[in-house]
Amino acid sequence: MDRRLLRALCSAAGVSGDEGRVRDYIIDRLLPLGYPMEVDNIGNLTVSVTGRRRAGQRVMVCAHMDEVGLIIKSVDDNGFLRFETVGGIDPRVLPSKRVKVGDRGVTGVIGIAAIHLIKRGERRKAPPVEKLYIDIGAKDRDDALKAVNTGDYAAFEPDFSAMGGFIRSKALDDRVGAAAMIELIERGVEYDADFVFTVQEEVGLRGAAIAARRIEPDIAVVMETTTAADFPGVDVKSRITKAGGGVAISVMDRSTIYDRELVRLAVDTARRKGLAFQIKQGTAGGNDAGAIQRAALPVRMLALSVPCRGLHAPSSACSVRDIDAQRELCGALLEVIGGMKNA
Amino acid sequence: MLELLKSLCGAFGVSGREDEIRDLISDLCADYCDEMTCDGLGNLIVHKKGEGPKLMLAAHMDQIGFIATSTDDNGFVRFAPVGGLSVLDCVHRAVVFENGVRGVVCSEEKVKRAELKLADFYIDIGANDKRAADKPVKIGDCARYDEEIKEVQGGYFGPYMDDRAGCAVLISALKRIKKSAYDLYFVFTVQEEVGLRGARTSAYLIEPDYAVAVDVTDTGDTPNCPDMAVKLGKGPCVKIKDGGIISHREVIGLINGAAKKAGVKVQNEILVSGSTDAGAIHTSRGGVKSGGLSIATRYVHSPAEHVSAGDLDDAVSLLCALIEG
Amino acid sequence: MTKGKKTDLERSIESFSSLRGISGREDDVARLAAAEIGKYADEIRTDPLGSVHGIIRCGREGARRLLLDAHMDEIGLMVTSVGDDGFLRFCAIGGVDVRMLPASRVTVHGKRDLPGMIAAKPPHIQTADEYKLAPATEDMCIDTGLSGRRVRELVSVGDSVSFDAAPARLMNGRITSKTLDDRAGLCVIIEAARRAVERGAQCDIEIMASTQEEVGLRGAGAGAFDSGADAAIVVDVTHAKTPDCPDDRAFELGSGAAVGIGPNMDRRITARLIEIAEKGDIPFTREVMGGDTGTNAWAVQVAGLGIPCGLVSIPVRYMHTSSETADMGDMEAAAELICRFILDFGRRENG
Repeated sequence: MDRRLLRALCSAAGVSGDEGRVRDYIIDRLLPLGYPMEVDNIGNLTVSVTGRRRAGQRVMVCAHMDEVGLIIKSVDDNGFLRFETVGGIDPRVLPSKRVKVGDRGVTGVIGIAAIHLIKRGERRKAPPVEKLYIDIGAKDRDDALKAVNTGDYAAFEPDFSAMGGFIRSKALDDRVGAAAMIELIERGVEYDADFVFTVQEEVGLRGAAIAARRIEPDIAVVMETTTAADFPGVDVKSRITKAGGGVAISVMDRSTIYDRELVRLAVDTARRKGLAFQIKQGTAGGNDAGAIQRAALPVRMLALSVPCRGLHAPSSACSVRDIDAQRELCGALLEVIGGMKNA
Repeated sequence: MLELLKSLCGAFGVSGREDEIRDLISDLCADYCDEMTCDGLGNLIVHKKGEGPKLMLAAHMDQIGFIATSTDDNGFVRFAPVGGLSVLDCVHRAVVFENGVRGVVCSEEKVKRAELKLADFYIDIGANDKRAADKPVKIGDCARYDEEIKEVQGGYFGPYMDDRAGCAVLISALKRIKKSAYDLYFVFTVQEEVGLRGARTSAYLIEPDYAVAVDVTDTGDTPNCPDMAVKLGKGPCVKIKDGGIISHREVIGLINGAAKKAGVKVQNEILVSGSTDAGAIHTSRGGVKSGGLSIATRYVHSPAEHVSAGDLDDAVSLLCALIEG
Repeated sequence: MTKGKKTDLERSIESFSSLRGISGREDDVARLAAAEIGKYADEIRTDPLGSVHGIIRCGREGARRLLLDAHMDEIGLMVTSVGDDGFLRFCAIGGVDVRMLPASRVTVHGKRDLPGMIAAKPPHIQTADEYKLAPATEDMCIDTGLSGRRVRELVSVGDSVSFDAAPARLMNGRITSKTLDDRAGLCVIIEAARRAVERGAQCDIEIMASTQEEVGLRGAGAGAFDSGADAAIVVDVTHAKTPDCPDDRAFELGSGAAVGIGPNMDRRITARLIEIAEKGDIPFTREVMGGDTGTNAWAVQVAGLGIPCGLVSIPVRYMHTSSETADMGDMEAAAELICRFILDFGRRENG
């Protein structure tokens, strides 16, 4: 795993709708390779990589560039910033966390009234998002507006570090997928493939549909992260995936039934290459595959996900073993799927 | 150890009424010390003179119990708790008053089980009317659980391991030690169960340099119980923290060092709520470096407190190694 | 974000706040405090509960002694069990605001420092009712990313856990950090005493960096027992205004030092503090508390034979979270106010 690459990607601020910094980093990084790169009308970045052989199938690989975060809704008279969440964030993970606001990355803390000042019976109540605010130290409204604006995005403060056998950081969902794709592009591929870095997955899988309509792939591989609810006391059947148990291959989720042959191929390939893998339990959740299906395109899909603890929180954790397995499995699959026969 | 426990647990000593247990303990200690004194509250201070810093070892001799508050026209005795009595543990329990009068604790039948409070209980001493009750039991008389200590696999159970087990450990150590690195004060404290009161006054008097309280602690090893690291039979506990104290690192070090010397396995203890004498001792005057050596006990404050024989023996060995330095 | 050079006081706050020192385990902070105070004190000692005492003698015969107190300890967590699955259970040390815990980054101080993350039961597992409440401590655990076997080698029951929240600057000279409660107070008394000594204080000063305030004012009570000081000034934090707090219980950031008024504080000392602030144009506010101030003053006032107290507090937002936020200007005001009080105390004969 290229740790520095992942660190750089995770540390960039790229909340859904504001993915420019992440996209610019990827463009700068891949430019020297000379592949055609295109940014479409919603902001997806497509890198068309020529393989050593011409492909019989149109292959698309995607990962989303955007992360969950906040957007400033208003600035009150005392200079505190009110916000909305962008993407699905459990409000209980917000109090006391640090954010970076706007283009200048102004430091702020998410505040609520100190616990001593709250009536005893109310103290354990989880404050809803409307009751929270961001404090940047401004004296009043005019003072705050010198530094930030309504409509600015706020991303969680980056803090990328190793934690046991894991990486702990914000935005592992889905910079992990993006990093894997970049490494594979830099390695070179057997068959042509379109690598799409999508936008706005977190607010409804919106970018992927547009990319798919342009490319009209036969096969799509989604590189994602997924919940690892392997928490003490959680029933085995509710865990979804186990962190450290290998790359998770999806069979079915809320929006997609994954192609049986592709799933079988993924499992066989993982076994053959000695890569740790698991089948994602349960049928909850969705990813860009859902968007592609909804775009009414008859695409055969596969999803490879890295189990992530603390998904959609200011700090999440993925096992290095799982990150490596996802990338290697995708690489191994790309050597063959371009040349597959039709279903 | 069983015989010692039986006689200690059987002696009367509800908080504030510790005379009988104090007499018993002073008889047991008399031949092994240089002087014995009592302070104004009734703490028994057993002093074994030595060179070296003052070490106070405390175990409380008082026990939880029942104090009679009134008798009704039908001869039933109402009471208030002395120390932490729990509703569930009282129902239909045999008790005995200081003067030997026996009774049983019952609850008013019409009150739903789930809604019972201690005020809904009474003690039936077999009296037919008020006059018959007032003769044996006066307001202010105290009663204790009336059960015997019994042996089970690997240990014992019965009322008042809290803290007669601690007293037993102290007495056994006092009898066994050959030498000492400290000027020793074995203090059998009073009124711990109602607010660590004896510990406070005795520590103020003695002004120790170090203190170790020997008391019971909870375990986390019974079905569907709250999470806690301590397990019965896995050794005496080195108290890291309880509701009243964060143990001094030096004292934790001394206890761990003694465990190594004695070849005894120990476990770290954190008791999230609940305090012991150490809580009162460590903030005495200008502060005292203190800690705790605890005996893992299941069902604390019930009439069936369960301790491990191995843990008790190991605690004695550890304490001796600590004292001998 | 505030631009410009950092003052000595700000640098001091950064150093002290970055250290870990939960109640009962303040050693690292005590070491730095002893070193800083030692730069101008005649004598340094540590008492049985770990509080650091620095004595500065003015050299005058029969000089009065003033005790300055701030607490070194911070709220934090302690490991209560180490699971076979590698997850750690914990309890809070001091009044931790549990609402800040989910997804917090922490450091577990085991055989070595280990990065960790606080995890709670994921949303899809919870009932609708559970979702409305902040998770209880029992439903959370610390994830270190290590296997059960490895965790057992490195972490024991009783190991302390601190929050990762190094000091950072916000706008207008405001800073956010863990533990401004009470490292801000500690830095203020060290600075105030240093200034007073520089300006020729005429009284003896005893600086007490006390332990275990967050778990019951334990260190200060014992530390002040034998002090024999004629008066004491305790410095702690108080609440600063946020949009959602009751107006009369909090102070604006930037309004200066809050001077405590009430039975816990001696009337003459309080009056002198206010007089000095007014005369010296030092920004201050009046903080009225009818009983227990919730600070070491409550213990110091009745320690031993009793010591008359004054209380100076620094307004802090989000108290008892890892994002406590304060205004450097308020800390400067507190330091200057206390420095002038020390000088005044040395000049007067009584009161």
